[in-house]
Amino acid sequence: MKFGLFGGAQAVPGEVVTEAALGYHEYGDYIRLAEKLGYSSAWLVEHHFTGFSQLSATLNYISYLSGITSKIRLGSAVVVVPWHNPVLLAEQIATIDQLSKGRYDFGIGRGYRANEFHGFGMDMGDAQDIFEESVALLKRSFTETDRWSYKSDRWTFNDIIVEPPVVQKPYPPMWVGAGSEASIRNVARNDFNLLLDQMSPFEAIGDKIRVYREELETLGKTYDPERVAVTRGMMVANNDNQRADAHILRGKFISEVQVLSKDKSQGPKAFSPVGNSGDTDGISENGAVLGDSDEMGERVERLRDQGVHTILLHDLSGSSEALQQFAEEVMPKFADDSDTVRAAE
Amino acid sequence: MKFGLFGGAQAVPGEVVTEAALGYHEYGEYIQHAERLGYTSAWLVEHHFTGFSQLSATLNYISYLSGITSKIRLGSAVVVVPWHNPVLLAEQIATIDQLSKGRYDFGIGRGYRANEFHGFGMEMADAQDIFDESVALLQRSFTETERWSYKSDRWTFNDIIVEPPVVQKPYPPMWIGAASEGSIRGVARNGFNLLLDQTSSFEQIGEKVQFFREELDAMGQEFDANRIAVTRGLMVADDAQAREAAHTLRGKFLTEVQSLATDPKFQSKAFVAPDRYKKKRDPFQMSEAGAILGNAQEMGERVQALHDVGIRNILLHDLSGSFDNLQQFAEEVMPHFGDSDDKAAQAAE
Repeated sequence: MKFGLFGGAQAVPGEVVTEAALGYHEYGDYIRLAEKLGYSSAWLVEHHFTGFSQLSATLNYISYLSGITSKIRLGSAVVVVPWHNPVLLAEQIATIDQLSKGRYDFGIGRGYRANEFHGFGMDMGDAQDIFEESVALLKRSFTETDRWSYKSDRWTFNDIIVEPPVVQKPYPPMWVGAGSEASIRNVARNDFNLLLDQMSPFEAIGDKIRVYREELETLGKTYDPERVAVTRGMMVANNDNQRADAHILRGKFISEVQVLSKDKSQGPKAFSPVGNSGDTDGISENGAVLGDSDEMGERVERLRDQGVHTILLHDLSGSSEALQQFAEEVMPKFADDSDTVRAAE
Repeated sequence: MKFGLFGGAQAVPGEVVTEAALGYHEYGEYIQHAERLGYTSAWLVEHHFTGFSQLSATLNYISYLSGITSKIRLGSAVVVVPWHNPVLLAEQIATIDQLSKGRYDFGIGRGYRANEFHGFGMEMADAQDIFDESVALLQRSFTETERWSYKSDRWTFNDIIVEPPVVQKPYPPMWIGAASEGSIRGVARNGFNLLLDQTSSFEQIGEKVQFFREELDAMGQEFDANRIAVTRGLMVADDAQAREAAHTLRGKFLTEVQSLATDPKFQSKAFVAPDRYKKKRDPFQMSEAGAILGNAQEMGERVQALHDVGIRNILLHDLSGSFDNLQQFAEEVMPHFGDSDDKAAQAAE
């Protein structure tokens, strides 16, 4: 079983509880510690115009992490493709793949926040079309070795060759976040890897994985559990007081994300990636990696029973001790054959 | 006097002599070595679609360097502004300023290579207008603390606030490359810092410094030599044979740059070759008249010649990528130019 991190950094601390508890450099130190402790990946969000000073230039942050780490994989969760010129984006991705020596996981999305589309002066109704066009251009950028040209209503490129080459062939693994059955089937049909959310209860995660697997098998493709990663809140709580505190912190975060996604002033087509439930404690009790080491282990076990092989842990506290406790007291119970192989390398 | 580096990295080594001799990670080590030796800055190029695997995502490379260095300043030379969405660019720049803890120098340009404009499907004739509009948007992105909106034929932004904040206020120093008298005076009038080229002779550099100074005087502003940096070829050559080899290498590079900039198959109608490329010049003469060339003593004399025409910041560009050259220059030439200002400033830190 693999354990990674999910999160972000915040240049200026503020009152709003974001997914980021730490500053840009502190979070770099946190990821370095995670690398030493045996976590296998770190995934970073991208947000614009929030006013909370969250990570906006995520690919620059990942480039920085490439320099200060050497083993841990680095992922975007996710780059919102429609904001970017696809060729400039391909150059950034290939550069990160070079700098990280092939450690990059390319998480992408079409975007869901109305205020971001509004900010960039784009119509959210176009998101899916732009996304599909750009993904095709990204793949072409990574794989074409001769000069090529392209023309559409949106983009014109003439006699280009996109450099540098990527390290991971044909290109870094592409991951797409999906929640509904239809969108999960769509991820499978497009042969992307699947990122699952941090709010669904354990059982729902199992259902989603089955949908993904079914669709792949319908297409005659082999299902590989390594192609699915699930984000989960990590709430290390060794007693009742700590448990209550962890619920309060995570409750604030969940409520704020719900508000941000639904804010009518930010646009009519609001969509919430965290659902609309007001029972934030319930969300965590039914879906987070929560409790003391024994309980966290049981919760990881439940995810494993649902077919999960990669968990991305998201600890809002940014605590190094929590990171360490999980690594030392929970992770060893889930070391499997594939990990042994890696250790031998 | 300050000494920095100018150059780039090349992910895949090729036959063409580019400004980059080293791979992405090797060049990172080279810059770490330079930092230890007392070089004060490293400036990186941006190129697209060359087919030589040069640095294209320069701001990502600089982000990487932010993580593996701690003192040396990091600059772009230059980000070609018209290719970029100005708000995404502002976010990248501010992020680098955060990651580097305020060590970033924002070198910008409007672009001059016809094949790059063609590649991005843009008209070179629009370059100056786009550049001017985007620079204004960049400056606004860095300084506005309230939400703002903007609309033109090119860009629409609604209720945005650009984050993170920059570390250097009001924003990282903006540097512009300029060669002609008119454009140098323009740089001064617009309040930018000046990047000078690596092929003019020492005397020509002196004239260019003079244009910049005159223009500042005319506006009643004080001249500050730290607002000018000049790139120079570094050609360490302790004997005649090494000198010849250095000339051969640099000759290839200069010839290739000239042909890239004037290759008819890359030309659009709108493209007017910069003056410096209109007539091909003899690479040997260019280096003899303008490079930091020779053994330690001769290199020192050449640095002195630049010092005499008002230069206080030289960006060295060594096509060989040699760590030994870097060290020789640092140990045998730099100490002659440690002035009291630098020492006092360093001691005070």
